[in-house]
Amino acid sequence: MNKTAIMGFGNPCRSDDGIGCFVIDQLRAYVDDENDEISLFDMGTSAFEVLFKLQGHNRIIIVDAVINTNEPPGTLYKLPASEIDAAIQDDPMVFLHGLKWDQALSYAKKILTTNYPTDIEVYLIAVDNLKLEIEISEDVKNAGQKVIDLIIENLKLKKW
Amino acid sequence: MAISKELNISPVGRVEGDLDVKVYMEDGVVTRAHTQAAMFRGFEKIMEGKDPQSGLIVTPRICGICGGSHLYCASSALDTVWQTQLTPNALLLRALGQACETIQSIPRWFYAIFATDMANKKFANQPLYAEVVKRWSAYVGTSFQSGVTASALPVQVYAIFGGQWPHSSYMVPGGVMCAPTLKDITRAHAIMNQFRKDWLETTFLGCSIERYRQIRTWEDMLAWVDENESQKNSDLGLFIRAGMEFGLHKFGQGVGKFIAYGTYIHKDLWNNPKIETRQHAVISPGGFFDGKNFHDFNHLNVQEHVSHAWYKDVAAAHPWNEPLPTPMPSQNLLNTDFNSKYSWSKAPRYDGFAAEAGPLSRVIMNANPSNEKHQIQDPLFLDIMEKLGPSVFTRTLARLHEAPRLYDYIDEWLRQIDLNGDFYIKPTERDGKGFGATEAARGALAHWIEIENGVIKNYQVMAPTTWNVGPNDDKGNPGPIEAALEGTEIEDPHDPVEVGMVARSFDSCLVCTVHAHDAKSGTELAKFKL
Repeated sequence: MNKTAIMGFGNPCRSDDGIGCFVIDQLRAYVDDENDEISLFDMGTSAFEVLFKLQGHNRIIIVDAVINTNEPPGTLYKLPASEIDAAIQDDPMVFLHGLKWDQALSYAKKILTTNYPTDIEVYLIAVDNLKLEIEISEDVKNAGQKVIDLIIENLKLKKW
Repeated sequence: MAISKELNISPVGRVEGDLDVKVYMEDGVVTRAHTQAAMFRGFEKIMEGKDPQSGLIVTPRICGICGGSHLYCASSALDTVWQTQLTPNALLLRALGQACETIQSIPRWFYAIFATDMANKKFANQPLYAEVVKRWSAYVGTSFQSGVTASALPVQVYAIFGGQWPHSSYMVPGGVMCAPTLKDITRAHAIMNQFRKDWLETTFLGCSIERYRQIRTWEDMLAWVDENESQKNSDLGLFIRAGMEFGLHKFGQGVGKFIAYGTYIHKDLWNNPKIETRQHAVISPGGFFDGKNFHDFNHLNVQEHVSHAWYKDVAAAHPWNEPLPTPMPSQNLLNTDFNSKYSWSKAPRYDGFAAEAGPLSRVIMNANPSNEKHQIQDPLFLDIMEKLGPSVFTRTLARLHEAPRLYDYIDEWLRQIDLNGDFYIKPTERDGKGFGATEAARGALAHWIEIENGVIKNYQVMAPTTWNVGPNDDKGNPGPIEAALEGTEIEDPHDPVEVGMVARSFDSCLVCTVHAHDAKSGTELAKFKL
C-alpha cells in the first residue's frame, strides 16, 4: 500500500484559523476524486475523525494553524509527528468535545498499534488573527501557498 | 451547625474554555449553582450584510460535532423565506443526514464522554464497578474501543450523500446537492449493517432491534434486562443495572419542563415549506411538556433573556426581534459577580419557563397521546418519568434508547429514495423572515433569519446547549443545568464527579471555535522553521 492522506484543520469562520482548510481546497485542483494514491480531508474542527481517516494510509500530511509562537503571522514550520507526540497529554480529562488532532493521534496510536502510520509530517503556520470573520490575511495565505507548492513538488502533483 | 462551602469547578466539560460551574453547598449538598459559558461565540455577526446563503457555509462550521444539524436548520430557514419546493427525495436525504449524525453521536458520547465517569473511584465499592471499569474506562475499556470505532460508520453514510462529514453544505434551499446512485444506496445499507453487527445488536443490545423495540414500559425494560444473559450483560443491560446500583437515578433532576422542536420532516408533508406546517410534518414530534401536560410547540413563544449574560441589556425578545448581541466585558469564574452578568450564554425561555432540551425531551414528546400516525408513538418515557422522574440516569437512558429506532428509520428512508426522482428544484430569492429547526443529537436547535434587500439583516442561532447551560433569567430563575445541580450530594469536594455527571448528562457542548495548535511554545518550534 502506498497511500497519502493530506488533512487540513481549522475553522474558516475564525479568520486565519482556516488556513488548513484553504490548503486542502486549493489542492483539489490537483487531486481528483478518482485518485487512489492521495486522499484530501478538510477536517475542519473535528478531531476524533483523525483516527478513522488515518486508516488505509501509510503517509500523513497535516496542515494547521499555530498560535502563541511569538513569531510573525505566516511563519512556517515543518515537523515530524514524533515531535508532537512528545507534547501529547495522555489524560482522559481532555478526551472530549474539545479534543484536538494531536490528542487524537495519541489515541489512534493506541487503537491502531501496528497499523498506525509511521510517516506523519506536520506543517504549522503561525497565526494571530482569530476574529470571527471569513477572510485569511495575506501573510498567512502566502505561507499556505508555500505549503501547497511544497506538497505539489513533493508528491509530483499535476492539475487534472 | 451546617457547614457551608463554595466550589469553583472549571472546566466541567473537561475542555478549556468550556463550561465552568460555581456551586454553593451546605453539609455536602448543593444548595445553589451557577453555570458559566466561558467563551463568546458570536458566529451570527459574520453573516450580517452577507449573501442569504452564507448560513449554509458558516453555520456548519460552528461545530465539529453538530455540523449536519446546523445545515438542516440553515437550509430549512431559507426554504421558509424563499417559499421553495422540496421533493420527497430532498426531505429524505436531509432526514438521513440528520439521523446518521445523531446515531453516530450515541456511542461516541456514551463511551467517550459519559460512561468514563462511571469508572470513577467514587463507585469503587459497588459490586458492578469492576465490570464497568473493564468495559468503559477511557481509552482502554473493551467497549470503549469498539463503541468509538463503530461510531465512525454512520457518518460514512452521511459522507456518501454529503460529500464529507463534518462541515458539509449539501443541503440547500430547494433540496439537496447530490444525486445518489443505486451503488451509493447499497453501500449505505452495507455500512449501517456493519454498525448493527459490530456494535448495536451485539455489544450494545445483546438482542435484535426488533426484540428491543417491543419495550413499552419501565417494567418491560427491567424484564428485558433479566430475560437472558446476553441482554443482561450487554452494555445497555449493564448501564441499567449499574446506573441504578450507583444511584444515578437519584440526582440531576432539572427544571422538570421540556422542549423539543422535533425533526425528520416527512417526505410527503413539507413539499411546500411553511413555518406554520412544519410541526405537523415532523416524524419525531416537537412540543413543550410542563411536567403534566403537553403543549404544541410554537417558535413564537421562544424568547431570550440577557440580564445575566455578558451582552448589552435589551428586553427579553423573540430571536426575530433581537438585535445582534453587543458583547460586554467578561470575568473569569473567581471574579464573577453572580448577581450581575456571568455567562456568554443567553437564557432562552419558552412561555417564560426554562426548559430542558435533549434526548429526554424528545422521548417524552414521543409519548404524547395525540401524536399522529406518521409520528413516533412510544409511551415508554412518560412511564419512566412517572416511576423514576428525571435524573442523570433517565437522561442517559433516553439518549441510548434512540439508537435502535434511528437504525430502523435510516434503513426505511434509504429504501424510499426514488433514484429517478428529483433532488433539487431551483428556488427564487425573496426577502422575508424564516425559521429552520431540528433536533441535534443533544437537543433542540434552531436558526432564525431575516433577509432584507437581498442580504442577511439578522441571523440568530439558538443551540440546545443554550437551553441547557443558560444562566438565570430576568426573574432570577435558574437554567436547567443550574437547577439540576441543586440537591446533588458531593462526596469528595476535591473530585466533584457528581457535578460533571449532571452537566455531561446534558452533553453540554460549547467549544468548537478555534482549533489552532498550541501545544508547543515558539522556542520549541523555532528549529522547525522553514
